Amino acid sequence: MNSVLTKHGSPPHSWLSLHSGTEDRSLEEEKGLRCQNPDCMDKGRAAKVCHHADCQQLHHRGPLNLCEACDSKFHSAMHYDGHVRFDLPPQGSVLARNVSTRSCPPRTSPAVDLEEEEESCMDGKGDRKSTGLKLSKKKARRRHTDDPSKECFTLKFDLNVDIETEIVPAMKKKSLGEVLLPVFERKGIALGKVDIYLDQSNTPLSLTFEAYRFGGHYLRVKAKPGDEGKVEQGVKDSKSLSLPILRQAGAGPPAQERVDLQSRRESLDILAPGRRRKNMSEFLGEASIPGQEPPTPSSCSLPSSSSSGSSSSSSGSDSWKNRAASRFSGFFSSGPSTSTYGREIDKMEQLEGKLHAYGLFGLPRLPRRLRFDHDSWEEEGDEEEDEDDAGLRLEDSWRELIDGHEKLTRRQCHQQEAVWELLHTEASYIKKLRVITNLFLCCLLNLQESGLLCEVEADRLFSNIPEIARLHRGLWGSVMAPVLEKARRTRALLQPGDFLKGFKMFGSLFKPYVRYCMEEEGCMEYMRGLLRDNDLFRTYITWAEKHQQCQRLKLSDMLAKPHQRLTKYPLLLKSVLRKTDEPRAKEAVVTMIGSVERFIHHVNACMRQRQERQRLAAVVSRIDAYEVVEGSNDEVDKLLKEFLHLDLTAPIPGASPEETRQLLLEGSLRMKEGKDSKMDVYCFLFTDLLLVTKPVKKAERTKVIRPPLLVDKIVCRELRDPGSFLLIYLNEFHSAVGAYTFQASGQALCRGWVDAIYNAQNQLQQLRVQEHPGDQQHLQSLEEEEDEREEEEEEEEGGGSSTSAASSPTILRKSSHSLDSQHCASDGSTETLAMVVVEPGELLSSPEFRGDPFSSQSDETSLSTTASSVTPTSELLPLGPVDGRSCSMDSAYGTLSPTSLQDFMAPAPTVESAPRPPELPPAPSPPPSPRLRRRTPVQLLPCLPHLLKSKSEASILQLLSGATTRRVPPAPSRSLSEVCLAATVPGTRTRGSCQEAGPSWYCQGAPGPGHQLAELEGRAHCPGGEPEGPTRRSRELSSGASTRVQPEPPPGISAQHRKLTLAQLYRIRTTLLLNSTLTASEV
Amino acid sequence: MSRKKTPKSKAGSAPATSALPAANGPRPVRPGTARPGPEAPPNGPPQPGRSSVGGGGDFYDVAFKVMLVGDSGVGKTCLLVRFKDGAFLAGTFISTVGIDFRNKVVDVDGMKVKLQIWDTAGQERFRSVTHAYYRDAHALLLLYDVTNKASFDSIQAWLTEIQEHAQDDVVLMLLGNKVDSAQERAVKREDAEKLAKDYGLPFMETSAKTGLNVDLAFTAIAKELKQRHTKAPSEPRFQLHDYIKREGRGASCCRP
Repeated sequence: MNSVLTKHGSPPHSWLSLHSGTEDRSLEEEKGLRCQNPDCMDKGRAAKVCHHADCQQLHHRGPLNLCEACDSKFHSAMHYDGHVRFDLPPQGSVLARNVSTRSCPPRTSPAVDLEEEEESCMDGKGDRKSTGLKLSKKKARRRHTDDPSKECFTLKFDLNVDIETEIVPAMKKKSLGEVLLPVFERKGIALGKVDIYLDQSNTPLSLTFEAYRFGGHYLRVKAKPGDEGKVEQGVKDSKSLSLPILRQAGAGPPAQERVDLQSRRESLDILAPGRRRKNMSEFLGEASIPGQEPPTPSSCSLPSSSSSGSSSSSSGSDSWKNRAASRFSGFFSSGPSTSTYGREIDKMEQLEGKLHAYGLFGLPRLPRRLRFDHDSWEEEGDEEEDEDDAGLRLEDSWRELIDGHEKLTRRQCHQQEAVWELLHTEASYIKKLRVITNLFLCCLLNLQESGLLCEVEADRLFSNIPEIARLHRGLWGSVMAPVLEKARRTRALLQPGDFLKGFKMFGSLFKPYVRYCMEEEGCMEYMRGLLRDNDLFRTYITWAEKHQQCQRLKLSDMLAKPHQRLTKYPLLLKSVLRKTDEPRAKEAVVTMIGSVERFIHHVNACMRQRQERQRLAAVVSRIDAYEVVEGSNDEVDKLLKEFLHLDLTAPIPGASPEETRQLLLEGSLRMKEGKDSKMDVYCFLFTDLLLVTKPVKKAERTKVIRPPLLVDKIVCRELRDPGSFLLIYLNEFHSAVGAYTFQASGQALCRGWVDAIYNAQNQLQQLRVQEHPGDQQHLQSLEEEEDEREEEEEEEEGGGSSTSAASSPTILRKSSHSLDSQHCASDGSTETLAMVVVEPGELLSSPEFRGDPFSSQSDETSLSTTASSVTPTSELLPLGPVDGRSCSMDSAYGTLSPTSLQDFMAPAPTVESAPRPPELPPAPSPPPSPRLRRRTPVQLLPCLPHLLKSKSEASILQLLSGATTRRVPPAPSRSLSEVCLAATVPGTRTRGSCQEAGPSWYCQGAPGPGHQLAELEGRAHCPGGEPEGPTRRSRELSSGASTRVQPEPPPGISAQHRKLTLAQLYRIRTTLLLNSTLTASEV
Repeated sequence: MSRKKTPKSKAGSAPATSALPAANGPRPVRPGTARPGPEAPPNGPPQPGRSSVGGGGDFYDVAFKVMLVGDSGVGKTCLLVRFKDGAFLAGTFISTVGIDFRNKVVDVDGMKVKLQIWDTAGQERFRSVTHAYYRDAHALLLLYDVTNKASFDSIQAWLTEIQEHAQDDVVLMLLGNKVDSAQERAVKREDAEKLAKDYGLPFMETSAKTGLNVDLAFTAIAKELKQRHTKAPSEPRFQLHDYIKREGRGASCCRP
C-alpha cells in the first residue's frame, strides 16, 4: 500500500514535466539532453530532470535537466528538501528512437484514446519521453488533458459477461447518453437496461449530464436490477458478431462501423503496430510495474483494460487457462499497481468479478509468492494433489477389499466395519480440511494478492489449519494408506494393530491441534465479526459456502471440524476395540486409545487453564483497592503505599504455578469482628484465600478491607445462631490471630459458605499434594495409616455413590454443579464399562474414570472423601509458598519417584492423563469411583498414595537412619528406592491394594501432561508393580504405550534434585513434627 | 451474638449473569459465570436455503443448527439416527461413531425448516475444547438417560455450561431418553419435571428405541425456531411448553 502512495505522489511532477516544458521543447531536442545548469562547466549529458520549483528557476521556469555532477551538487546541498528528480534515459535507447518518429498524422477525430494522446505528448517532446513513460500508467488512469477535445473517460462494464474497458471521448456539449449510445450499440447493450455509475459511487448517473464533465473518470456500466439476463444475452449475441470484426481491425475498418469507431480504427491502423511494440517494450522494460499485462489481441485493449486486477476481466473470451493465468498474476499482481487500481475500482465489483472468474475457470491455486514462503505445505500439496486424491479414494465398502468376506463371522464384520469407519472418516475429514485450505483460504489469499480483502487476516481466521491439513496428509500417507494398500494387496482383513505406529505418536504428531483448539474460539469470533461488518467478506464467504464441496456447511461448521475430529478418535478406536478379540490387536488399540486420550486431555487442560486465567482476571478487575492497613500520618502512608497491593494472579503458594486461583464463592455477608458492630461486607472465596471486601460506592467494584485470609489457616465453625459462622484465623504457629463472625442471609447460604471453605481447604491441599506429593503423602501415611487406606479402597470400589457420604462439603457440589462429577459417573455405566466387563484379563481403565481435566472447582469436592479426613492436616501444613513450585521436594525421597519425575519433566500437573496400558491386571471390580479422580490430585489420592506411602515409609526409614546424604548420586538413589520397595513389600496393605486395583493403572493415572507422560510411564510403573514382574511389565509398557521411554532420568534432573535434598529434608522433618502435634489438638 | 434478621435474599434459580457486589447473598460461582462479553454477536440469521446450489431437491426456507448435548451414553447419536432415519441402532451393523451431523427438513405449517442436527458424541469430556461452538447453535437438546441417575444429575452442570457459552436466546429442551427401559428407570419423571420447571425448560421423555416422542421433540424445536424466526418480537411467542404438553402428554405417559 505504500506503493500506492508513492504512485500518487508522483503526478504533480509529471504534469509539470509534460506541460511546462513545451516552450523549449525544440531547443532541447536539438541540443539533446544537456545539462541546463547555467553554472555547469562542461554541459555534459543530462542524467536527471528536476521539476521542482526552485530548480526550475534556474531554467526559465522549465524542467531542469542536470548532469550527474550538477545533480549531486544541487540535490545534496543542505537545503535540499528531498524532492523528486527523474532519471533521463540513456542515449540511443529504443525509446529514444521511437521518439524521433514523428510520423503521426495530426489528430482530427475527437476520438482520441489515451495512448494517442500520450503519444502525442511524447512525440511533441521526445526528450521527456522517459518521464512520460514512467508515468504512462499514471496517465492511463487520469485521462486529462488541457485540450477539451481530447478529454476521455473510461467505461467499465460490470456485467456477468466479459467486456473490455472502453475509452470514450468526453465531448463538450454532448450528453452522456449521446456519447454512450454508439458504444453501447456496438456492444449490444440497450442503454435503457443499464445504469451508469461514476467511479465508486452507487448513484446512477443521469444520461442527460454533459459528457465532458466525466473526463478522466471511470464510469461503470451495470445492468439494472432485473435486467441482468437480457443485458448479458445482448452482449453475448453482439460479441459473437463483433469480436471477429474487431480482430480484423488491423486489416481495415469494417464498413458498418460508426463514425467514432471508424476514426478510432483509423488511428489504430496507423498507430497500432508501433504502439503495440512500444507498449510491449514498455512492459518488458518496466517489469517492475506489476499488474501490467501484455496487451491482449483485441484492438481496444488499452493499458487500462488490465485495471481490473489480474486476469479476470480482460481476456475472458480467450481460452483462459486458470492455473497458468493465476500463476502469472500471482507473479505480478502483488505489486503496487494492482492495489492502486483496487482503490479506484469499486472493490465489490472487482471481488464479484474475480469470484465469477473462479467459478468459471476453477479455483485458483495458492499464490506463488506464498508458496515460496510456506516452505512445503502447499507446494507439496500441489505436486501431490492428484496423487493425493487418488490416495484418498476409497472403495465403497471394506467388502470390496477383502476376499471371502461372506465367510467372516458377524463379529469380524463388525470389526472390519469399525476399522473401515476410522479410515473413511479420516479420508473425508482430509477432504474437508482441503476445502478449507483450497477453497476458503486459497481464494482468500489470491484475492488478497489482487488487493481485495486485504484487511482480513488469514491467520486469525484460519489459525493453523494448513498445518493440521498437512499433519493429516502425513498420517494418511504413513499409516492409513499403507494399511489400505496392504489390504488391497493381500485381500486380507484390515488389521487394527497396523495403525499403532501412527497413533502411538499421536501426541507429537497432533501438536498443531493444541494451537488450533486454543485459537478456534478466536477464529470463530473473528469470523463472526467480519461477517457482520465486512460486506466484501460476507460476499466472499457466501460465495465460497455455495460450493458443492462445502456440502452446504458454513465456514463456522468447517472451523469446528478439527476439534470434532480430534474428539472422535477415541470413539472410533473404542468402537474398534469393542469388536476386536485378538489380544495383541486389542493391546495395540488400547495403547492407541491411551495415547489419543492423553493428548486430548492435554489440549483440554491447556484450554481450561487459559480459561481459568481469564476468569480470574475478570474477577480481579472487580477488586479495586487494597485498603487493609491505614497509616497514621503522611510519612507512614508514603512508606506504606508501596506495599498496599495484592496480586491475585500470582501463583497459589505451594501449588504448581500452572494452577490458577479460582473463585469458588462470592457474596454479601455481615461481618462482626471482636466487639465492633456488624459491617456489611462482600466476600470472595478463592482457592487459597478469603477476601473480605467492601463495595466501593458508585463503582461496581470493591476494595479489600481485611488482610487476605489464607484458607489453610482458617478454622471454620458453624455457630448456634442460625445462619452464622465463625472464622478463626491462625498464624504459622497455629495461634489465633483473628476471629470473624459472619452472618449470612440464610441458613442455607451459611452452610454453603462453610462447605465452600472446607472445600477450598481440601482443594488447596490437593493442589499442594500434587505439587509436592512426597510431603503430604508422607504425612498422611504417618498419621492415617491403614484406616485411611481402607477408606480409600472402599471409595474406589464403591463407585461414585459412596463418595458424598464421606465428604462433608457436598452442598457446594450441588450448587455449583460439577458437570464432571456426574459426568464421569455416568460414563462409567456406558460403553466403556461394558468393555471392561467383556475383558476379564484386562482392566480397561477407561479414561472416563480418570475424570475430566475440565473440572471445575466443584469437582474437587468429590475428593473430599479422602481429603476431608485429612482436612485438619491441611490447615497445619507449614509448607509455605517459599517451598517453591518445583517438584524438587520429591527428590528428597529419591530420584526415582515417578511423580517427582513427572512433575519435573512436565510441569503441568493439572493435566489429566488417561493412559491406557497395554496390559492390565485383572480387576475384581469395575472402575474405581470416577469421582475420585476427577483431577490429577484426585487421582493421586487413590493411586499414588500407595506408591508414595511405600516410598515415604522408606524415606522415613532413610530419614531416621540419617540417610540424607546417601541419596545423592543417581545410581545409589535408584538402589535406594529399591530398598524402599523392599522395605514396603513385606505384607504392607499398601502394596496389596495397589495390586488389587492394578498398579500399572495407578501409575499411569498419575499426572502428566499428554504425551510427555509417556516418557515416564515405564519408570512410573516400577515402584508400584514390582512384585509381579514389574520390569517385564514396565518394559511392555514402555514399548507399547510410550515411544520415548527413557530408562534413566537425565543426569541433569537428578543433579538438580540432589541440590535441594538436604534443605528439604530438614523442612520435612519439621513439618512432620509440627503436623503431628497440631493435628492432635485440632481434631 | 445478636443478629438482625437480614432480608431473605432470593437465590435466583437461573444463575445471574453479572457478578456484582450488589447482589444479595452469596452465590455459588463457577469461576467466571459472568458471560464473557456482552458484545457477543447474535447468531447470524438463519440462512434461507432456496439457493441455486442446493441440489438434490431438499429445498428449505430456513435452516437452523441444533445440537444434542448431554453425558456420554445417554443416547444422543441414537436419538439423532432415530429422528433422521427412523431406525434404532441396537447391535447395529452400521457404525455411527463418525456421524457429525444430520440434516433433516421438517415441514412446519407449510414452511420447510431445515434442522442441521449436530451430535456431540465424544466431546462430552473435553468441554474446554468444544464449548467454542455452542455459540453457533440455535437450539440445544439436553439429554439425560432415565436409567442413569448421574446423567440426570449433570443436567444442571450442562445448563451452567450452556448458560455460559451458548447464545442467550438459544432454544433449549430437556429430554429424558431411554424410557423404554422401564425396569431400570433411575430418574423419576416428576424429578425431571421439577427440574425442567425450575429452569423453565420444556421437557419430555423419549425413547430412541421405540421412537417415542422423538419426532415430536424435533418438530417442537422446529416450530419454536421457525416461530422465532418469522414472528416479530412483539407478537405472541409460540408456546413451546403448551405445544409439548398438548402433543406429548398422551404419548409420554404410555409407559410407567
